[in-house]
Amino acid sequence: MILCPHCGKENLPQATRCVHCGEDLEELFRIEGMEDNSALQEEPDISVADLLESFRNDSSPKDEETRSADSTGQAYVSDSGAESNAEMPAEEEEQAPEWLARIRKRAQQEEDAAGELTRKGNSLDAARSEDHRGRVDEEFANWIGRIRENARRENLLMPKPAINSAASEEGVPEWLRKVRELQPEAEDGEQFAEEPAEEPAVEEVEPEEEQGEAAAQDQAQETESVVEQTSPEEILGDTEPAAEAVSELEPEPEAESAGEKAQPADEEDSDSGDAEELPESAAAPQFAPVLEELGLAADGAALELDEKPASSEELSADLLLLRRQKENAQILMNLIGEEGRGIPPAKTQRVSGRGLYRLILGAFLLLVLAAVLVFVPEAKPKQIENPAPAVALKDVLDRLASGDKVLVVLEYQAATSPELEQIAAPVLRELETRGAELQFLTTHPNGLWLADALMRAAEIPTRETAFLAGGRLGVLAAALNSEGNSAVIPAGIEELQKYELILLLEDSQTDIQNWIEQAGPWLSASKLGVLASSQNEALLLPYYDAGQLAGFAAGTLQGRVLAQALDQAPLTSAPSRAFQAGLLVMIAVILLGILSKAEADSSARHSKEPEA
Amino acid sequence: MKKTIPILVAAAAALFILAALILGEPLAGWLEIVLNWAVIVASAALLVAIATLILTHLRNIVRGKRGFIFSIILISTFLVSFIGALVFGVDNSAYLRWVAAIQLPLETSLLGLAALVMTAAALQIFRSRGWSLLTLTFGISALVFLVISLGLLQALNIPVLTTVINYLQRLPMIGARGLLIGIGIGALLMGLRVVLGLERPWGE
Repeated sequence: MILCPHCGKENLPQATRCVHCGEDLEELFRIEGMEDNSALQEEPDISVADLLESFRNDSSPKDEETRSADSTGQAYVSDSGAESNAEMPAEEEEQAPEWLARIRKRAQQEEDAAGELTRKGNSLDAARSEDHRGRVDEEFANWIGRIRENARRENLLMPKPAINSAASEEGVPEWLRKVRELQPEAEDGEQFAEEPAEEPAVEEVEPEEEQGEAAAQDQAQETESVVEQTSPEEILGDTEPAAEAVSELEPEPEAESAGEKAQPADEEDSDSGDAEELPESAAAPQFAPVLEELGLAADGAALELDEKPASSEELSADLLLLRRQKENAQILMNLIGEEGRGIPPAKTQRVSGRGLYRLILGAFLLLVLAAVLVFVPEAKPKQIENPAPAVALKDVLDRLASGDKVLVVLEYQAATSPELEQIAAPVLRELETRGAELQFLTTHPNGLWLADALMRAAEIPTRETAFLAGGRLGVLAAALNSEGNSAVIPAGIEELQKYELILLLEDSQTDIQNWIEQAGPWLSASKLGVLASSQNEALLLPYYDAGQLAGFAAGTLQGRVLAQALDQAPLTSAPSRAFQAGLLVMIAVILLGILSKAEADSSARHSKEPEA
Repeated sequence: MKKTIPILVAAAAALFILAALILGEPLAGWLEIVLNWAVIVASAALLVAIATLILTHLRNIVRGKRGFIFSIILISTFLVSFIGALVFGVDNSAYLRWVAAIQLPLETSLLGLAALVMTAAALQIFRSRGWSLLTLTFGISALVFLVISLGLLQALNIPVLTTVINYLQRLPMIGARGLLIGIGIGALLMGLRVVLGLERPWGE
């Protein structure tokens, strides 16, 4: 026990404030293992100001006592100094020697008589004191943390308490208790019903605490040993009604040793009736200010929640927590295992008879599609606005006279030949009607036999098709050939500048760019016209806008419009209907995908609803 | 030297072509000669490539490598085409029809297969990706442009609808132009790298 220097009454060693007079006892507060250090550090902890003050009061008899007692601590010295200042009689001042009076007078005149040195020394002392106090606080916080951690571990490792007897008393079977533990939410209502029965139990505990408070001083040493193994919240005496009630309802035999009692498990709390626990709960109010000053009181509420005595509800929460952790760990393991694997296909339960239904539906749809393609006449645009590039190309074609030379360049593949034949055939027929001199050239080997098919589709006389070797280089060489004597240019093909129109039949962006960008600068822009597949429209439009093309028509729709403008009948062959059929199938498939996803979502939602 | 000479030749040829395109007529004659050289060299390179292809597949057949059946098919079709062209001539209509009868279905079915794959992907995208901004945008835009491509809406001859369709049909042009600008800049940079010797498309 320690004595308060102000009132002289006894206090617990851990107290930082006197419980009788309320004065601070910080300088007397000791922590086990820290006394030596604090003692060493306290001795030199005398500020310069105090020394000067003691010099100033040199002649007074009290100062002699102060000097003799200055080793006991700074606070005491400063207190005595303050008293000497306040109670210094005026007579003593008059009796002081002259030199001392002069010094005192000068010190009063000069406000900073002590000088900067004093100020710096004071701030240094304050810093040291704060540093020392901070270290003490840190050490104490670490100590408390270790205790809490140990208590938590022991709590987790502690086997489930045997409450069979209590359960049997309540008449609750084992299996039902386990179910309740795993479903604490379901027990809320029961808990509310049980609360009134638990309140008297708390009242029964409180007198015991008062009794324990009376015996606290006798058990101080034991309390210290217990403090080392228990958390501050337990020292404060956890008087949670539910826990106390459980402990009241479930009397346990006395613990065999003090160490076991100190454990923060439910066993300790169930021993609330034991005499050895009473000092702990009785000492709680005395420790409260200590912890409050150390900044631990704010955590009290949260810690109470975390470190409740292990009642049945608390254990069930622990079980649930562990089960949730286990489930989360399993989910994480599954996720890690499935990392890098492909997305598994959506599993759908097959309903018997549904496959046949789908087969019939699919066959019916295909049948309808085939019937539409075969029997329904093709929808033709009655009056479609002719696109500007196609109009420009028609103007170029209209300007052609009989005998004008037109070079038809075939640069498309077999796969796109039906589309391009549908576009080009009416134009070639128109040129033939106008009496233009047509020549055919190709840079692809396929063009040799594709040109033959094109001429047959256009119903024009078959002509020989020249093959221009060298690809891009050949095209550039042909464009540069100004004298018609190049070895690259095939026989029968004249200089490109001599043609009134060079009509390109294209399905490749590369070939289009090659003609426009490589050969174009050597040719007149008005000579180049393009008939292309629909996907090339985006590429051709900028060239047309830039004036690098005389005009173009891309896709079957524009080809049909151009044919109508030229008073030629467009080809109504199967490819056009097949193209439309393909588009319809793609539309149907995308809609099917959207609907099946919506159906899957809906069924998943319905399957979840009953569970919820 | 082994690395330097190809770089110098490539850079010189590229610079000469650029100069001829910029200056025009003064260099047109020289450009034609250079192009003839290039065509002859390219044709010879094509013959070397064909010879390498045949030799590789013959080696596969002799060694009995896995999939050597396909090598046999390749070499036999090549020989039939080559000998047929030598015997009947490249312009022979029977020969051309024969080639067309093989190539046209092959290429068309390949294109159809690509369309089928894309359609299957469109079917699966909603299941695999779920509802998201990307999938919804894809689905809606695909449906809109497929319907427009059918041409049925245009056949209705509704002025307002035609205006809307014309407006919508301009949207892909914007994206395509962006792509073309990107391709052009990429080609320019690639050409510059070749001219400066930083890129060696002919290998090390």
